[in-house]
Amino acid sequence: MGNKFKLEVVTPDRNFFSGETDMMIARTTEGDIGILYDHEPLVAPLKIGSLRIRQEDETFLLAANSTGFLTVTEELVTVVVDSAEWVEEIDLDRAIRAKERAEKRIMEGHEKGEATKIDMLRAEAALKRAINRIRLKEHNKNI
Amino acid sequence: MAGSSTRDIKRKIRSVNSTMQITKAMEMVATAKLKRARDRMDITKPYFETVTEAVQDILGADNSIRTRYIASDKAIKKTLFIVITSDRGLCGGYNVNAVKKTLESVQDKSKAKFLVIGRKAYDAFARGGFDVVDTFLNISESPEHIHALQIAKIALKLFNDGEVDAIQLVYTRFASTISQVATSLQVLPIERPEVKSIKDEAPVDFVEYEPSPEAVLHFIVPKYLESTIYGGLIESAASEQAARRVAMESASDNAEEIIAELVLSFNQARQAAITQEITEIVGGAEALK
Repeated sequence: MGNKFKLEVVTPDRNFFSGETDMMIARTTEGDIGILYDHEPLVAPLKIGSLRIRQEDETFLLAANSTGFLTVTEELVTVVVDSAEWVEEIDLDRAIRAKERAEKRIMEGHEKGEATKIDMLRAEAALKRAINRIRLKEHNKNI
Repeated sequence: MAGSSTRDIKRKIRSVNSTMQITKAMEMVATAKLKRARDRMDITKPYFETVTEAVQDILGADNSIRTRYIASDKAIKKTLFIVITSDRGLCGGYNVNAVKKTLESVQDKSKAKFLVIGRKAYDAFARGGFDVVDTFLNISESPEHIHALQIAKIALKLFNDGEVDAIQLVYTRFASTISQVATSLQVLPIERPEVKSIKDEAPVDFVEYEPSPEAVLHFIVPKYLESTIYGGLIESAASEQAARRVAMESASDNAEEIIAELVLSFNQARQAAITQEITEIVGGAEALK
């Protein structure tokens, strides 16, 4: 395991993660990015995706996150996201229900047309979040 | 005569007593809610601080970024005030102070728009003939992040459309359980932090922005607005409960005092009645002799 750096992941409703790691992978709007020790200072927006944090035993902690941003400074890497949950915490049934609900809303929205543009955007974001959760959970069923 | 006056006092005591029971119950409810609100405040504070710090860092590190989100010399013409109050009264000066604080900053009624949260602010501003663009009711007691998102979205739209060129957030800062301060905070445009002169601190950190500084800033500013509003909502919720607890505590104390006084005068009236009766009996007996 390489040199470690301090990492903090914060969401509005809790201090999600605070500790040390030697590698963290996140999904920015430009694509996946891996942060190692002594990364150059960086600020980047994050998309809905997954966070991977390498642990002592070389396995990764996996979490689903929604949009936010990432800042890297000399001492600290900070991830600020609207919401995040560990793979173990994801409620698959709830995510599937959310997906169906969002899909239904989008279908209905298409019939209604332009008037519901904001609702459509919201439904699309909800759909993306639900799909992200489902995919992450299904890929890591053994956890 | 004397009998009816003691009955009156007794009735008064009973009425004050039942009021005291209500204020005592409200005090206890407020205490419990205050604890919950403070716990939430402790949880959300790191998020709030991290976002603010990140925005300040970005602006402080690079003063080449120029957008309308950053304060410039341009005069502010129209301001949007986001005012956070409660839906319910009986919380001392909590609502009045927030409304007063807002009016202090309003110079010209026609150049101010209001986005109000809480029935008390709505009553104050809608009745006063102010331009209220939107109202959020029944959220101030337990605000959720989604509420902050909605408020931020409306505010940002007004800002981007050029309807307003500044956003002020009026909330009640939670200084301590006994002291809450109504505070007005300029959210947008963001005041640029003092840029350290290059001579003092060489070499300046070079920060990379993916994909570009402007793009990052355009992404982060809404987040900054959301988190500031959310922080304000949470803190005001805690302040509301704290203010209510203090108000109800003094109400209960006052009720106790009034009851003590009434009991005293009740006892005096009763004693006077007894004395008078004895005098009458004695007087009557004397007359029969």
